[in-house]
Amino acid sequence: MMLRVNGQWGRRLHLAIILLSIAGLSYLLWQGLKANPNYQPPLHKLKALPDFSLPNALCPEQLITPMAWQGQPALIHIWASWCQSCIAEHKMVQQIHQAYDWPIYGVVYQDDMQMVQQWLAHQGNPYQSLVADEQGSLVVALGTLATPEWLVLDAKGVIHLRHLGPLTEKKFKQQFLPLLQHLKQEHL
Amino acid sequence: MSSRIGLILLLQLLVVTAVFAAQEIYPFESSHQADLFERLTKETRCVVCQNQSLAESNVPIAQSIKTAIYHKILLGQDSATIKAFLQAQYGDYILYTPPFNQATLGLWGGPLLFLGLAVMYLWRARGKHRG
Amino acid sequence: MIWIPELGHLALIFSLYLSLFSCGLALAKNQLGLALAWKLVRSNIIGQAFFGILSFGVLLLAFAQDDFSVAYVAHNSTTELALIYKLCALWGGHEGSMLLWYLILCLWSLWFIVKAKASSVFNLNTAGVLALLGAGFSLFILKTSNPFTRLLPNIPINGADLNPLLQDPGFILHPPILYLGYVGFALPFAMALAYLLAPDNIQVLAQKMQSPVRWAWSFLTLGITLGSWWAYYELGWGGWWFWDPVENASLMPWLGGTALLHSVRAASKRAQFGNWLLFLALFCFSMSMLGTFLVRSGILTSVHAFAADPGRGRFILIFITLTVGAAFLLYGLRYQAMPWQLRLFSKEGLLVTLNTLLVVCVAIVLLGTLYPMFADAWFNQQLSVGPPYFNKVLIPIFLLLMMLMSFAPYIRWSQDSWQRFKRPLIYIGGSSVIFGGVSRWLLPWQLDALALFGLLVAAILILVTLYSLVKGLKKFFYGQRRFDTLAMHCGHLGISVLAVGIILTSALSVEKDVLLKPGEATVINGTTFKLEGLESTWGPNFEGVKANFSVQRANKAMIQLFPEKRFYMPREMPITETAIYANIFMDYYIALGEPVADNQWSVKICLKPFVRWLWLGGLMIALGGLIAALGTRWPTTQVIN
Repeated sequence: MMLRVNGQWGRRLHLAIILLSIAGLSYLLWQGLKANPNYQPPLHKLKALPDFSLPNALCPEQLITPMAWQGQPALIHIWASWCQSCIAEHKMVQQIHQAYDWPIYGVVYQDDMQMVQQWLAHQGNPYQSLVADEQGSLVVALGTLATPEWLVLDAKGVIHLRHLGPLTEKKFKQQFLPLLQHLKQEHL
Repeated sequence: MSSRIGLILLLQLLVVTAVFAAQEIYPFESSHQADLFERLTKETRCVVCQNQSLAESNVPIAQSIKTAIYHKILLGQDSATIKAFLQAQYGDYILYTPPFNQATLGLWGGPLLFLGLAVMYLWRARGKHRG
Repeated sequence: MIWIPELGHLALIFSLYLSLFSCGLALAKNQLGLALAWKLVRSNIIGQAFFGILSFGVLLLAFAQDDFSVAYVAHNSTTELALIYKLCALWGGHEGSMLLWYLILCLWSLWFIVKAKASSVFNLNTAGVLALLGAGFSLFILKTSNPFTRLLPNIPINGADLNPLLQDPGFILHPPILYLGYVGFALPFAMALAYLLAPDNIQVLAQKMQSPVRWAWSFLTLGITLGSWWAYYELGWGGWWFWDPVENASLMPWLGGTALLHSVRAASKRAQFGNWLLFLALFCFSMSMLGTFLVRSGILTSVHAFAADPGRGRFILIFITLTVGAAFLLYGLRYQAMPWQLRLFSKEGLLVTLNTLLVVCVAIVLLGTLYPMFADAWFNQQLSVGPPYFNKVLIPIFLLLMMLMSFAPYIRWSQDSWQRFKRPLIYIGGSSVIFGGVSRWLLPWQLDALALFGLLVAAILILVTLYSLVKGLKKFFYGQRRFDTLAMHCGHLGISVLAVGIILTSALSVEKDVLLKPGEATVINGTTFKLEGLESTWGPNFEGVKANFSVQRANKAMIQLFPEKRFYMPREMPITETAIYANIFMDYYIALGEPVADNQWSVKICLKPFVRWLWLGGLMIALGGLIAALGTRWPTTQVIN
């Protein structure tokens, strides 16, 4: 039809092009089935904790800065009391706090501090340090998508792992624990 | 007579101003800043929604990103700086119009290629004895 | 009775067997003799359709009776749901909507064997291909998406409810009409393959294809228009087209179908269009099947997509690759180049240009839809390909097509000269320049250059088409029943109305997000929106808040709007019910957002001018297709060229 070759071989060439396109598209789609179609923010390795100055959720007059979260490998938990999945995973957070001595720093996102204080008083507070991010400035600076989200921090304040969604015990043991132990080794 | 009309007009004025005005979610002083905000929120994507710009979305993270943009505009940052900041956190995904780079060569070049092939086909098809 | 759903399952299995049997009979037509084979195939297809209808009916009954022992019913319905939505919930999930797909395929096959009475090789081949497609899809349902799986012995007391977004009148009509169109292209596909297996007179094929192509295309147009309108008032942010993968999946067959629609008529008049006809007939249904795959395999995320399952995806992908591959292989092997002296400035030339450009559009839409997946896999980059991309790339092509549309109906076959068009072109050119110059004062709106140009092209098309339409209607009432011409002008008019709607609503829409307390008001473009009050509201499966808005326009009567924010208990989902006041020139659109503080709500208010023109245009296009479909006769005798 359009290429210079005419006649029998022209026809065969065009047929080959059509069939190759079908095969190519099929292959692309087959591979695509294996991938995760959901958006995941770029996990920049070795991204430092952004600068912030946010009030302590339990004691709003006190301001907390990234300095307070440096010194040892730790976990950061971004959550909110209106988020169903966060409430559901709270038990797990307690278990981690009791079983291990990794500090857990919390970021409460877009929440009412009184509600948070009441809730933690009732359920128990596993957080070594808890900041109130009502406007979401820290959350956006971290590139978070939604609550809950978990981050692994090293002693110098660099982020090594990001986990979207609620944390399960299995994931914690498989992904977080080895990384935390590795970071502790490095720090020593 | 005129004083009575004047009184009625004054009362109407008071009634009208008694209607409370709505509160803007993101108030701006200058229309230039307001325009910039509108443009930026239309050109960026809500990262957790399907095919919605930031302007159209109301989910918590979209609100927070809009608040962050709002504060940056108030600080006087321009469009390119704010977009660069968002790209650093969320990647090229947050730009609603795909950027021109090596990865999007096929995306932007593809339509040109297809049109080129179409033109070639029509050129060759005209006035030809086929068979 | 606990065993009734099993009847539905069994019916589907029988349907599968009968379709396979039909296929075998069609293959064995030479051994059996055409007359006997045709008789048997007809009875088999009637049987296949009967069991398909039975299966569908049993599932419908299960929904009507709240039979939660059927897993699919338990996942998509609840006792508090209104009856009509219980029935429609059948196509609310993947398994049920796939059954609807299959039912419609059976009905189209039934339609074919009723219309095609002669026991010809062509008819047998077509029926055979249809049966093969039926077998593939019923096998797919039975193996991967069975709606009849049971939850015995622990039958849940209540179901998980239909997604509240779907509990709406739009849901009653949109899927069935869309599928009638989508699946309808299977018939031209089968006919094209039947022809390729036993080539005959291509113009007769074209005449036979006219009816199914026109009906299917009209339904698809109607389905897409309905979908856009439904999304507009349901989703709550005033958008009407999002270039969402699922929307693109229905747009691609539509674009191909438009090319096919034109080619069918062209091929019935000029045999040289035969190759395009065959190619497009195969292409359209391939796009339909590809669309089905994209929507149901979980490969892309979308607001419309069904629950993902890669296993289903693999099955459909293999089925599609084999079917489409075999079809185009046959096309390539049996391809006969036709002697053709083509002049571009002729009806044939313009039709070929149309076909080429539409295929290019489909390729672009497919590229844009799949590119994010490709970029992620190949470059490890996450991209957003959305409205900005598609609009930038496709608008020039659509504008070009609209320009061609204004003179294409009047151009002659074989060859035409520029001379004939010199005078009209001068008039149009001159008036365009004048229009462009005075538009700033003539039009009450501020539009940018592109919008102005588009509006101009659309206006020319409207004037030209209206003139021809009126002439055609006059002739119609004087006895000259040219359905095709009337339909064409109606359809083209619809496109121009749609274009005007798109241009004006995109350029002139105003949106505002504000925080309001009862008693507060906001002013947008001279219209005052005041929140008078809030009250609670409730329904069978939801509770919520209803707001009372008064809208005061300058020099016009006041409007009252009642947007709601509902919380559906079974699924714990909040849904916003928008309140819209619509007339032909403006929509006033209010959607409640979130409660921010005590009694203070964030509200989205939109003023959308000319947005109704969009769907009016869509309806006119569909009407054009329907007029053409109604005016088509199924050829009962051989037409001599």
